[in-house]
Amino acid sequence: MSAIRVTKLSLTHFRNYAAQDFQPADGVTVLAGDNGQGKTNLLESLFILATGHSHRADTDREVIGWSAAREPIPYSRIAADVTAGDGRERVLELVMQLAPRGQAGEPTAVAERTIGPSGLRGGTLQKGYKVNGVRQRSASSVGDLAVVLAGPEEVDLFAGPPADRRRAIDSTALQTDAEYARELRRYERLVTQRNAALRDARERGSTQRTEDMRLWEQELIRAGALLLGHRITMIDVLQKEMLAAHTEFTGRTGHLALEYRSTVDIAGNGGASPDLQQSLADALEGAWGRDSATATTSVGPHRDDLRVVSGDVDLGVYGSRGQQRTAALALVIAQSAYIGQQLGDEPVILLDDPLSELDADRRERVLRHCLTPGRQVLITTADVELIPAEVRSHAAMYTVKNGRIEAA
Amino acid sequence: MTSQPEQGGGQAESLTRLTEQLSRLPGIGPRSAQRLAYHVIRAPKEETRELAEALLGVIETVRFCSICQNVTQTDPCPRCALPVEDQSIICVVEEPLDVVAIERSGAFKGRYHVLHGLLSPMDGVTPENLRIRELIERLRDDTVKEVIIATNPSMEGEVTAMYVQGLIAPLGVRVTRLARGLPSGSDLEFADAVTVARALEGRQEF
Repeated sequence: MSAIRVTKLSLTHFRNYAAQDFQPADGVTVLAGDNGQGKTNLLESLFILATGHSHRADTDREVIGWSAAREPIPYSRIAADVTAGDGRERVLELVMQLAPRGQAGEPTAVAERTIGPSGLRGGTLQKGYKVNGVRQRSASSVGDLAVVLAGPEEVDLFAGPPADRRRAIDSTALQTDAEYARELRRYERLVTQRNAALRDARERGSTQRTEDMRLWEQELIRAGALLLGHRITMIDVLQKEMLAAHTEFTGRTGHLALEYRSTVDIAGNGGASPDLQQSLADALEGAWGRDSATATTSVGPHRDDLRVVSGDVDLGVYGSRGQQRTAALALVIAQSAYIGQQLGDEPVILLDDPLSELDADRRERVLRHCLTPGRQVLITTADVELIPAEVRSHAAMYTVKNGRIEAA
Repeated sequence: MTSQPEQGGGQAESLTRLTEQLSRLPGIGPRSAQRLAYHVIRAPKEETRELAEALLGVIETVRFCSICQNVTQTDPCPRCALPVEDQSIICVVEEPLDVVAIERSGAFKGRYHVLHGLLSPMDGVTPENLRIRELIERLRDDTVKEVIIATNPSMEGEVTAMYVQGLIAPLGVRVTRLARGLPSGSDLEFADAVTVARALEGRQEF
């Protein structure tokens, strides 16, 4: 299968990179370096360019690096030359800037900004996204660049909080479907609006649904049902691919099931495909008393979870760390397969030091799977010795040190 | 980095108060507020007095038109006081600047109604905060045959439009919505996917 490749990456004021151009190899690129030098940041920049947001929770504004403090408007720029499987070339560019509060695009005096523990503060974060120099309305490059990322957070996916798992599957869905990306943004905003409306009603001592509440819910149901339908179809594919990858990694056929645990009745009655809008409406109706008392929305895709079950055992709860990590890596491979099927092009695989805690045998199996010819892979490692010599001989080797990338 | 401008420390209290008031204005940060405050001090007294009088004049003379709710100095506002070409049609907009935008087109010959916001509970805006009741009052007699809802095509704009539509429909008045799609003079090739999708949805017979 053909694959998406990044031929050039330019970072400006991105985390600890002041200005860096980098040309990854067509196949495997190994980025070695000590912790805190910028290896993860480099992979993160590609993830943000592909999905519009960071894979780390709530850190979008922190990506604007300290080197941007002297700019009239502090900004961070990620630009990449991307070649699709059919040879079509695109230049993708994402600029994130801190605009002064209230008025967009007007410069403020530099001294008005303060630097807090997590970077530049003050102003509102704006994102501008361009393809081949033409401004786009949303920062989601469906079909232009697609990535999957496996890093320390991802390998702990099944042991961590449900929000991480939702973000993981959302990142896959929104890279393959513009409608999903759009409806996800709307849905999140609608939940905020409904919660605010519930809070307002509670303050006025009203427990009846007002007409405007009904309208927020109607929109919420429409967007939410679309997300649910999309996720259910996607999980079907992920489940099959994950089992195959897991079998390959462990060398034995096992029982591994990926389960979508919904707060909404998605099974339907009688097995026919359920009307998801109706199911979500019923769930909201059932939760009305609780929701209006707590002024939160307790059911819907934003509260659903993804579990991995082996036999009858929930691996997230009872699995060993090794089992959880192998399952999480298998999910990343499954996500990559799903993206490949949807786009017709394999995504770029970003492996952020995920191998250090696997035994030598599994490490080799995982790498061998990722290193199919034609596919672009970027691997970071603190210890080059963890990468098998056979892989290193084919790879482009780089060292990352203090926000600089140099050929090793 | 220089430190934050000092507030109060050694500074006249009235100056601090002015700075604080100025920094509450949209788009003005603490530093800009301080710059403006010092400008006020250095400027000729007469100029500053004029500014103060203009500010007071605004709050004393500008009010909301009792018919269309637009900001005005006379009630009813000049637009509502004069006969218009088409009495039977009202265009509902979010804010006064939208009236200006539609007037600039020269394509609308009816009357306006300004809601002064969009429904958005997260910003504390619920139906009671909008001038919706006043709009319904205007539809009581049979003069108005059509209401064009010209709120922005944002999520909040859409929900507000639906809310208003739901209230008007039982009165038997025709409700329409502004078209969405490609801006004229633009290039299809360079339009983003959402815009193209909307334009396809809203396509029309020749």
